[in-house]
Amino acid sequence: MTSTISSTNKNFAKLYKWAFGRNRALMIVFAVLMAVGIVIDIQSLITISHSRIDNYDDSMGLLGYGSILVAQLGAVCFSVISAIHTFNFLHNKRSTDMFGAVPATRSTLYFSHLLGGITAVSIPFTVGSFIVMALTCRTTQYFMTDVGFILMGIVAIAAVYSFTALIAYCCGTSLDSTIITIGANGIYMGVVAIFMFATCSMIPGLVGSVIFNTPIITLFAPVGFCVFFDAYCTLGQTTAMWTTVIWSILFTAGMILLGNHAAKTRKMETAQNEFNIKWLPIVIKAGISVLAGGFAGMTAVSGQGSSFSNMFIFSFWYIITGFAAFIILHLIFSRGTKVKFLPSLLTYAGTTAAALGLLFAMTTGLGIDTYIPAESNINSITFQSDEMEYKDPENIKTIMELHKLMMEGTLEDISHPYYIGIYYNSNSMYYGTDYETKYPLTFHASFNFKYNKKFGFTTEREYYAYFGRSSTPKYDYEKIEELLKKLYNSDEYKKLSNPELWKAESIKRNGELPVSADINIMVYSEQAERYSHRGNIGLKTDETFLDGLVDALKKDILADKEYYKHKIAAGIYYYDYSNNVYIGDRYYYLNIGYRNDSNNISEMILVQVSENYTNTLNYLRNNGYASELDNPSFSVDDSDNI
Amino acid sequence: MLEIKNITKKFGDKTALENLSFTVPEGSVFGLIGSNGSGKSTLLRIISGVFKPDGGSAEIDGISTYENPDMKEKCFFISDYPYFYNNSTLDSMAAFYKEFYPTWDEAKFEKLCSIFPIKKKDRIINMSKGMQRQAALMVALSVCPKYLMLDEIFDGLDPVVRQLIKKLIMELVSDNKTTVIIASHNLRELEDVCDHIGLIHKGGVVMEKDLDEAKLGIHRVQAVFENELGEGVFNDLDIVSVKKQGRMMTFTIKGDGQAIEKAIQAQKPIYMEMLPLTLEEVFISEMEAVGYDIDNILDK
Repeated sequence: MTSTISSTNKNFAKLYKWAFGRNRALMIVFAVLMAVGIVIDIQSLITISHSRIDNYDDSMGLLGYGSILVAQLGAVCFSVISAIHTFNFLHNKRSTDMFGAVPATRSTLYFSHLLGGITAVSIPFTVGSFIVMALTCRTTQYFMTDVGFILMGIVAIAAVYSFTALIAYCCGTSLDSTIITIGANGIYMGVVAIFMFATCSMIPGLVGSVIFNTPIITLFAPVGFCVFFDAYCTLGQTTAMWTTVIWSILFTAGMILLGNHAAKTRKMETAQNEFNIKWLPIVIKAGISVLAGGFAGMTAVSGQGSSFSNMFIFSFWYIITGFAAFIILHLIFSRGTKVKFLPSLLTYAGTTAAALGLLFAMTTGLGIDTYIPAESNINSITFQSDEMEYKDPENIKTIMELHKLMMEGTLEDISHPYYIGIYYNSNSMYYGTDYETKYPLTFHASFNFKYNKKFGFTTEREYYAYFGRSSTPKYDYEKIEELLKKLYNSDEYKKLSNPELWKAESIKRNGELPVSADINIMVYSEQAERYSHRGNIGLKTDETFLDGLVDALKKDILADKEYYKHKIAAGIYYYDYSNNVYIGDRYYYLNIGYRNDSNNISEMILVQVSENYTNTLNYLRNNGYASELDNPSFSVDDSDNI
Repeated sequence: MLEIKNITKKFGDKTALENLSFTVPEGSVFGLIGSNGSGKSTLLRIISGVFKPDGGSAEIDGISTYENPDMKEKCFFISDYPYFYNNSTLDSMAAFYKEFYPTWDEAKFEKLCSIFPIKKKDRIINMSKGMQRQAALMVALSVCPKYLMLDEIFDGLDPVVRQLIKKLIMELVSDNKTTVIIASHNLRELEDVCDHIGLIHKGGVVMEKDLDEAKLGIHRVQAVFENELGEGVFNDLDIVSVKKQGRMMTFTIKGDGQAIEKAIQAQKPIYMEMLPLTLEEVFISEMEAVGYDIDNILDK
């Protein structure tokens, strides 16, 4: 057993050293570029330290991870170059004679070259990035981010390297290997993007950007791993970030296994010849034809109206451009030699039919256009951009009904299924003014439905009530407004919109009172921009008083029968164009700022208190704050500035 | 002992070697000859472990060389176009190979460096074809392998260097008991150095023999007869070819020399002489026998 293992791995270290040495020149170039980057960083650090800015630590941190991000991109590029260089011995008949006869197994040859190359790229990247981190990192948060970026950079190098190595084993020449490595990465992301773009253009309601928020976009494009990881990390999309990390590791492991298999089975005589895997160029040709055809088709119909002829125009340009791209690649791969054209042509025809069929089937055949998840399959719905998550079954029903109304209105508006258009909004009419006054909730709602389904699945749709292609809106505004009122009057909404009041720990963390609660009272008149400052209750540390105030507020909010009006007033001022006045009820604005010892961070609760919030108003008056409520210390009239 | 066992190798639809079998005795110098495209280089690549055969195996002492580093360590292969990296020097190539072959003989390498007109620090890629081949051979001889595979090693070498190489190969065989397999079209050089010959054609073995046996098994006889020979007088002889120039007839005949001489003498020739055959003539005769001769090619 020992003898077998030792024989199998024979000369690994020597070949590793050889492969590493072959990358010495590239390593030096990368190291020099990293050094130049570090010098630029030092110069920026001097500039930042001289500017005496307030957020010094943040500026340093941003500079640090911005620099590491650039280093990651460099590492990915060098990984591709180095891998093609390292494995080009497979693409020359004379060098395959030399390496094929070396006393080592093919697996040893593969692993030694792979690891030698990865090490050569990783060393300058890691050393350079740690120097940048040491120069710029000032806080734990940035330290964690920087370390995460560096580790992800190393994973990305391994992923790109193993992917490129696998392609090298599948190809007969370095040119094919380069075309396919670059092409496969670009094509995959491009095809996903164009497919998303096309389907979203055919079925309004689909949220295309969701693709970019999931690792699907880089599933088979390792050059995108670290870029999207960094983006998810920066945007705080933890799930997508960790999924990218896990997938990158699994992808790398898969590529290494496949690479080893390819190394063992590769026919050395394919050097300077054809592809070792016959279907690889076919996939690339098909992918590029879909990409080119889809792009041309979408461009041809952009800004066009909704008609059957649009579908024809799209299909025409898709077929013509896709075919041209296919032929060009066919000629490149065949290098002018006699290659069987008919099977290739049949592949193109099959791919085109499948792609077009799938696209058109998605408009009606697959039911995506009218899909609303079954109620029994829904855990919660995140409705609107304020990210409130509704779980109350009654509210779930209401939101599903809203979804149905918006979907039906939109599909009627675009003459579905004949619509294809990229710029849906910019080519649509805005139904403002009169409708806005009459249906304020509808016009200030973002109809974004995110269904959080069982087993972690989600479905997202988005519609616009204030845009449309028809001269008159096709939406049932009356019904929509009524449903929104119902939703915004629900106890769940009231609690969700005042989380600080219902989450006791916000004010009383672990039963402890805040160190201080600074209470200001503002009063707005019936015109939203005219308000007066009514007084400052000031710092309060009285536990009983604060508890009583919170209880009174909760009681009033739950009893409020017109709570939906708060939705309009709390941040949205609307204007009655017919009477030329702002609309809104008189309300108080309690501004409670508090600071808790445990986190030492100042936080704020803004509570809108209507005239009929008698519990709260009486509570304040009974506790000796009548004058703060009723006597303005100063007034502001901003209405002229609106 | 190197055994070629039922080796088949296909390149796409084309069969390069088909069910090829023969044995190369240990310590012999085996000349692999054959027509263009007969599969000589392919066979050497299979023995060296570069190509994987589609069937059969090349075995050293009963163990296949393919994917076996221990066996490959005993072999060294110089292809028809030896490979060198762009910046390779003799020094760097020596450094590379001495890592992988424990049998590397540094003293021998230094000695070879003093014999051949190649500087150790010069870039090999800039050298002539012949010089590159010499560099490859210097490395190969320094490795002192048990099995040395040489593909068209005499190509591009001047006569002096050819002589030198033959001498060095013979030294290696006698000092190291190395088995050498040389694939070449240069039969004149092979004749000097080989003790065994293998002739392959269209992927199969036509002949595999001791060189002397091969040469003694085929004879050329020049004779002049007083009268026209009657029909079927030499029916008992295995005549490969007959050429007639005036009254002088030249026969190429397979078989025992004495029996041939006796059969011809029976026809009372005015003049008769048994001529020795060169390896090249043996090759042509054997190839004619399998339908590969100049007349056939021209007729096509």
